[in-house]
Amino acid sequence: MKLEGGQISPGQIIFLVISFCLGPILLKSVALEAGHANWLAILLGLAGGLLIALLFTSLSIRFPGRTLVEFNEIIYGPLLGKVISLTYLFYFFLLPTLTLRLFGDYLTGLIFPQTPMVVIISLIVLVSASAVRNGIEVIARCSQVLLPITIILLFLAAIFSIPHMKFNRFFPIFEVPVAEFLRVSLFTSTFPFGQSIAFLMILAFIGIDSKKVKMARVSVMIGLIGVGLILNLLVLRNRGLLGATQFIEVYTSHQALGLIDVGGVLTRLEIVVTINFLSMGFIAISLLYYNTALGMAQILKLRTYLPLVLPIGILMICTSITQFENVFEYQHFSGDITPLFALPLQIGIPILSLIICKIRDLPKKE
Amino acid sequence: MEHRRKLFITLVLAITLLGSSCWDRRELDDLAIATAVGIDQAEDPNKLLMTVEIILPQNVSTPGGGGGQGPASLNIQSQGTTPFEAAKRLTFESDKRIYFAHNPVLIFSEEMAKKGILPAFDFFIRDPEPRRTAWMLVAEGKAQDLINVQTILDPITGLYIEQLIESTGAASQIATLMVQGFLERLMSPTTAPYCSIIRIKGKENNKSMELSGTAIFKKDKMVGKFDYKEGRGLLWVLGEVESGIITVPCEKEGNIGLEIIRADAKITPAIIDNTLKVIINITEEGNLGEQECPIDLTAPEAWQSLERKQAEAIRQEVLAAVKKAQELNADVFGFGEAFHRKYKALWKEQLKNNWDEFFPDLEVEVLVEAKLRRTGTTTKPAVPE
Amino acid sequence: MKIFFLLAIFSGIVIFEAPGLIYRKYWKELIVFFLFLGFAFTISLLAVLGVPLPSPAKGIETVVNFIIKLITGK
Repeated sequence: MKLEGGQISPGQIIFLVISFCLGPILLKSVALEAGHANWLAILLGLAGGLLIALLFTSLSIRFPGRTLVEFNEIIYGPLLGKVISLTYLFYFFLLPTLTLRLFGDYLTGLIFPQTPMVVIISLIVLVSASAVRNGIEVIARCSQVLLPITIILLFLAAIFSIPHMKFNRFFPIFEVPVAEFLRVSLFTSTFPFGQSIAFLMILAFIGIDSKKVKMARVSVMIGLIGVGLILNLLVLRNRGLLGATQFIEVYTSHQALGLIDVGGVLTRLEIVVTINFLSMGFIAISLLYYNTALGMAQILKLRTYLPLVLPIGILMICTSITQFENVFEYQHFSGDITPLFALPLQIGIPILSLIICKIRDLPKKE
Repeated sequence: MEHRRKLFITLVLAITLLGSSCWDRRELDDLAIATAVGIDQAEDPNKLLMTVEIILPQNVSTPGGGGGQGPASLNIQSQGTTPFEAAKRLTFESDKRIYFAHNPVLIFSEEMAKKGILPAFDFFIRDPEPRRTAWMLVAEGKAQDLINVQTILDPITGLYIEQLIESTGAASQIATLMVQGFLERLMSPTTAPYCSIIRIKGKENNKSMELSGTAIFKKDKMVGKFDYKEGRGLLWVLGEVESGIITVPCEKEGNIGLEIIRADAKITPAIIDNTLKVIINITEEGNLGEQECPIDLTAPEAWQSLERKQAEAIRQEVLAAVKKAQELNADVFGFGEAFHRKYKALWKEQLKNNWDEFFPDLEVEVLVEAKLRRTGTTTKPAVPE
Repeated sequence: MKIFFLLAIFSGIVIFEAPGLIYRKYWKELIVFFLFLGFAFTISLLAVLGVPLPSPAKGIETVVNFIIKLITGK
């Protein structure tokens, strides 16, 4: 019996992938450890991300209409499959808590200094919970509405920032050691690109039509390329506006857009960053939240995932607030630890799964 | 199902109405909007004195007439060991919260600037409220005296100073920098920051203020100043000259004024025979703005010689600025960064940490290509043939 | 006060979710729901009371560092 009757189209997958990957990263410049070459690192990371996508979409093509949790049990057997699925669910649970924490720190730090963080985070979780209860179709439609707004705002901000840019700020391009550059690129391919592994839960709702499933793979790829392009626009804009000071900013995009001044009328565009971050972050959080709730229900073989939504939401609120004491712990964890934790989940296990599928000739025809 | 929905709505309403909305409410009448911030050294050497001008909205006159009596702004002061402490102590004197987000000018006294502004500067970049787009200024004398001047053209001193700075492009003889630009230069290992200098003009009841030059910093310490000529020299190199008048002498008597229409500059670093050299290419276009001598300049030869004179005048301005900067050993032009972009390895090995030894002896070549385009509404001077 | 607020929220969730499950006779789902809710309640109660909670992030960090040590042998 199906837990979720929703159906989404390959076109919606593009929207979902872009919003989902942009969600947690609109605030900051990505891959700043690569110095002035961070846009190159992003392109290399995109290539890595596409490989990861190629890997996991071959799993979804093998098992059309089945989610990660369902085919893990087919591949690894009921017990081991459940353990592996739980690891994934833990990852899916952890990622939105990081984004939520970023939300909380950003909004309490810069915009609402007096408001308790728990209130901000709870409100976002409440909205997300409502989206999750309504199912994947609603999340997909939200992204169809919110993503165009975000992209228009991003482009406008980029156009308005051109007069404030200095060409000299982009050079010299390559100053970091190659090993460090490769490390940063690898980390970029796990985050934000590689986190699209979460779509193994979503691609099941494309249906079992093999043509559509193959199209979904292309959709994921297109989405990731879109993310890479938008991300490059973002980091180049920030670099052109801020120059060397971008290395000391906490919220790079926020500071960069604060400098924009169009004829003394249109000033302080940082609110654009807040709007974009809120809307895209909402999609990213909802999607992973949905994954966690749905996956948990599938592991426990429940008939509906709805009763799990609110308890998981409360756990997410608690975790996001209590897991880090300060900003540095957060930065250290999300920057240095998460990619290492994500690598086996994004590359190791999918490869293993594919090998086992080949050997055991799965899925067996019924 | 129906009653569940009602219950849910009630719950959401209860939470939103009871639980939200009161933490960061900022009503306009609870805020005192700062329009100028001045930092002085207090009498106690460990403390600084912060002077903040705040708007009194009830006294600001509106275009449609009306407005109240009395001054449109009020100055309040406090002391503290750091700017943040002083800023928080301002509330001892003000019944409203001081709101820095619209502050257009940040003024340091000359004394502070010579001692180093970095300790006091951090608050203005770290705190989310002050704008990075505020203008940096150094006041000759004390910043508090400057803010206390009752300006006539604009009743609010801070906004008046902002206007002064934003119209410097008309003469392009004073270099201006915002907090963000200052910060960017501060973060470069070689490039030196600069900002405008402002001073009080006049005495007693007839005070006003004027921009008197450009303050040159070395790291965060002010080491000297550029006068008007050197200021434009700096702007030529930076390619930021917007407009202005170049005066060149006539052949016999009187002067010719040439209006600058547009200008651009390119810095090319080079290494020739193991010595560092910088070539500055300046392209400029101008108009004949005025002439005092009664000779016909519109003949081709005279016109070309005028162009050459104009180019030479620009060259002299640039060389004056370069000479002064090399005397001060402050690389305000960003030559170091130009080498950084072109000679990465050399930069990393030698230049980055020893730029102070290279810069004073740097060979600078200035090439100016100056054009004159138009003559205004007349051709020849108004003299009988 | 905070605990009262917490109780109000959780009873709200129970009132919101439970009747539908009971109506549809989803007993298994009901049990799982209460298990999860109980867990969430314990965690949030501890958080409200200021008891330091084990952070999953720190757990992962320890594991990752341990594995790096195993691989690099340092």
